[in-house]
Amino acid sequence: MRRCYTILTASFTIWFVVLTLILSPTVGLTQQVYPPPRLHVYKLYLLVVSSVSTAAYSAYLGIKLIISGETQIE
Amino acid sequence: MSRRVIEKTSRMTGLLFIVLSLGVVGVSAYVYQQASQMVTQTIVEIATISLKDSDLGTIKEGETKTYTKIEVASLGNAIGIATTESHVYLYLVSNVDTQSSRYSTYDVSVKFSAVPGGSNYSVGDAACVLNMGSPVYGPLDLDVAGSWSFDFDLTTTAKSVDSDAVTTVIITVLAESPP
Repeated sequence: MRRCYTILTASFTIWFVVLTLILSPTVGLTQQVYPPPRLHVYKLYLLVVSSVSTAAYSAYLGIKLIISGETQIE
Repeated sequence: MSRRVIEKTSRMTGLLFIVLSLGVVGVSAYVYQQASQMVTQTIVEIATISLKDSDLGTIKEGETKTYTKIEVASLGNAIGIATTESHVYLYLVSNVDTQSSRYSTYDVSVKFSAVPGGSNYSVGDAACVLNMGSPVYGPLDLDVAGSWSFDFDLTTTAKSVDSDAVTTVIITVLAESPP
């Protein structure tokens, strides 16, 4: 279970970092920048990948915990 | 800890994880939608500027008045755009022509207030004039990459003055990247 939590924490951290990169007024996308540099497009791809994987893994752990009723998931 | 307490704790934790996953999806979807508007569109809306009668103060019938950013602060740096490549084209679309019943003159002069180095334009140059005869202008070639901003100067001559009528001129600024 500790390994699962480590993976989830790492996944959340990556997602949060990507989100910060996009929202940051200095390095992120703002309405003032046109056309967006290619780097910003890659950041958006990264946001999709990190959010989907984080959300899926979090939901998977949640469902598994509810079904098993155990704090220890094998 | 009893089995029951463990099961309850486990279910609560599980529920928390599911709520977290929904939160991640929600926040990401919102940020993606906001940010991707710029990425996917060839033409993007940079700004929509509204000039309300009430912002312009008092005006008498037949009087011609010129407003600059000194009188109306919102006319200063009304448009700001940071371009990342050269030759981005700006389009200004206004509804100035709807003012013909109340004004005989309604000229919006757009001037460069910040120009990146290496450009053929200079600060203070007139970029274009929007008026009732030509409410739309474009393309305006932003010839080098960098930070651009524009001031508006407004010249109006009122035909009639009615304190009850509130009118608004809307200027929409669009940017198009080179093909």
